Amino acid sequence: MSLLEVRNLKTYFYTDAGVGKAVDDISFTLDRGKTLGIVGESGCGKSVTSLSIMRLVDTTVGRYEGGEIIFDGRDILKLPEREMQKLRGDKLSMIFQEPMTSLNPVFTVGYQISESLMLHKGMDKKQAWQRSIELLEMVGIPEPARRVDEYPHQLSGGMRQRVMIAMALSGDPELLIADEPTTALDVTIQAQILALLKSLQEQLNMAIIIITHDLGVIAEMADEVAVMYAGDIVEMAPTRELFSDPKHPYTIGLMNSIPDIEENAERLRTLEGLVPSLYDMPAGCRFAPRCQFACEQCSKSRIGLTALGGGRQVRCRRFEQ
Amino acid sequence: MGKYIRKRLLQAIPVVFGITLLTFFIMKLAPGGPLGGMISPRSSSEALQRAQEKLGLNQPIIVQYWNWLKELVQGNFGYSTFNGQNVLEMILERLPATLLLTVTSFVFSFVVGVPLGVYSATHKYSKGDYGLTVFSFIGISIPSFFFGMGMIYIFAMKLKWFPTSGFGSALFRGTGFQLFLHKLRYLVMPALVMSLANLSSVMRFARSSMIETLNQDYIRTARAKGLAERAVIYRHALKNSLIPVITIFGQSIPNLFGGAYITEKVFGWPGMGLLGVDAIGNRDYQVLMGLTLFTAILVLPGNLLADIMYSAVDPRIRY
Ligand SMILES: Nc1ncnc2c1ncn2[C@@H]1O[C@H](COP(=O)(O)OP(=O)(O)OP(=O)(O)O)[C@@H](O)[C@H]1O
Ligand SMILES: [Mg+2]
Repeated sequence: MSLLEVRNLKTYFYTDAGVGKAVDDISFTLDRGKTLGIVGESGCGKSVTSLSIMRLVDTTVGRYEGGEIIFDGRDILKLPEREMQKLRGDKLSMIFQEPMTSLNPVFTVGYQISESLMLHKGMDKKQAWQRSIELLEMVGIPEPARRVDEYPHQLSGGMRQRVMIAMALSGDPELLIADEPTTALDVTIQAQILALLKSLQEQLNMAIIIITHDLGVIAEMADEVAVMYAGDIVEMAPTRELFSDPKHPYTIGLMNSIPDIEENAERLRTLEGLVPSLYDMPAGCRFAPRCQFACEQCSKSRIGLTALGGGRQVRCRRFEQ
Repeated sequence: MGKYIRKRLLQAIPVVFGITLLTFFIMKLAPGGPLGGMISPRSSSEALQRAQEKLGLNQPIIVQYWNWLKELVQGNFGYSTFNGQNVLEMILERLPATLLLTVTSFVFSFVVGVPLGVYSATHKYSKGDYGLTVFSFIGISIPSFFFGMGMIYIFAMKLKWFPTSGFGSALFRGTGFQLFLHKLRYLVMPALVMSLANLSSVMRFARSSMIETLNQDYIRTARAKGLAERAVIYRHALKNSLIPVITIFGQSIPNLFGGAYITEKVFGWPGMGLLGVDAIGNRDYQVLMGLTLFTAILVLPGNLLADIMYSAVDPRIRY
């Protein structure tokens, strides 16, 4: 049985602008010890997907409109909040995209890591503090015994991101969701962190969902890749196959926009055209307005995922039977 | 920190000097003059002359100021033009009652206002939140004398739960805890009236600050750790949301002393405010000057106190 099985998940936002289908009917599975990469342009629903799995979507505006998230045999969307709290930070943990603002400014780094250890590992203050220092050392923070006593504002963005990683790893998670875990880090540290994640993955047989704009990171880390566009998964494939033979026009566009070394750009060069507004989605294929292969039919009705064999799926009329 | 406090105290010296200037010259500008209340159409001009000479009022104004300041520095606030009593003694005699009233209502407005604000924020748009919002708007907009008289009418005259005015009855013979309870009954209404406006604004402030804090990324991090909602709110959010509330802590101290004039008059509370209102009626300039100066000096440490509290709550602030 897979560790995680997401089936037809829909997460919608109800705002003054209308209903925003941020995640619209996505499905995927992930086994223990495996890594799923999620790529896609800004706003396509990557973070909302991860927050849905953590069940941390802001419920004053957001709603789970349907679907199931089966983690370890239980549907997360149906768990009582108490049970959910036991999972979060323990078997299920997440590294957030915003390293500068994700740590509480009024508590020391050590306190914030210890808190999690005392909660889930039953450690006392002293043990948790000691373990916090070890975790900081593990994620490559120099002088961890001094840093543990510092406040977030005393640390650089990269350091804070590593503190976040240490915190997420403190519970020895079965599933780690890493939302742009290395964006704030320079290249050497980035490589170091990715290597660390990989070695921990082997040790703990941990599953990882890694979200990134950096196709290089995907190539290095992921076993399988989900390409998201405007709340949809448009293509799903084993990493090697995706890179050697992308099927969906959007994926092809992404591959072509990988920056040259000379350009030295951190983000994907954007494809031509704009992502449709969340509140004004095209009726048919959502990528059609930007697609060079689009024909009249594409804009008429929603297009389903087509299984191509070899674990590949694509959402494009050209592959429909 | 110690160095910072010393620096701030030194900075206060020119401020106090400025306050003496303002106090003195504003009083001089006031029409009537200190003798206005003592003369009648039948007073002879020699008598007036003699009185002026006695008080030094015939000297140039700068000299008058200088003489007043010289005495002040030695701790002499002058003598009441109305009854000849030592002004400083009059003020010090009234100080405990005023401090009791202001400190009680101040503490009350924060101890009650902050939790109510937190409740409002965590139950945003609920019936309770709407109720508290209406309450706070009423609290901010009702003038305290109106509220005070309403309270006296209902709770003192009709229900007879509390005495109408004063601070203890001369006939009461109890001691110890009995005396404490007796005095407490006199304190309840004026303290409530005085804290109402402040409590309301503390509540509004705590509410919006808490709502903003709960939207921060680090709150999501705290939830992602698996903390229960109570720990998220009271451990992670509360401390952060108190930082802006400290600002009104510093700002509301002067308001309270100002408010004491009205509240003390309404409740016949024997404090500095009542002394001030009586002094206005008596054109007792020496007492008014003394009170203004004294209150200003009392209020000055308020901002310093707020700064110290900032640095206690927020590790990013270091002096
Ligand atoms: N709390 C919210 N209220 C309303 N809309 C939201 C909310 N959170 C996310 N959205 C919307 O959902 C969509 C998907 O957002 P999401 O954060 O998942 O994008 P993303 O793929 O992570 O982008 P990025 O690469 O910039 O992080 C966006 O259009 C966003 O505006
Ligand atoms: Mg995101």
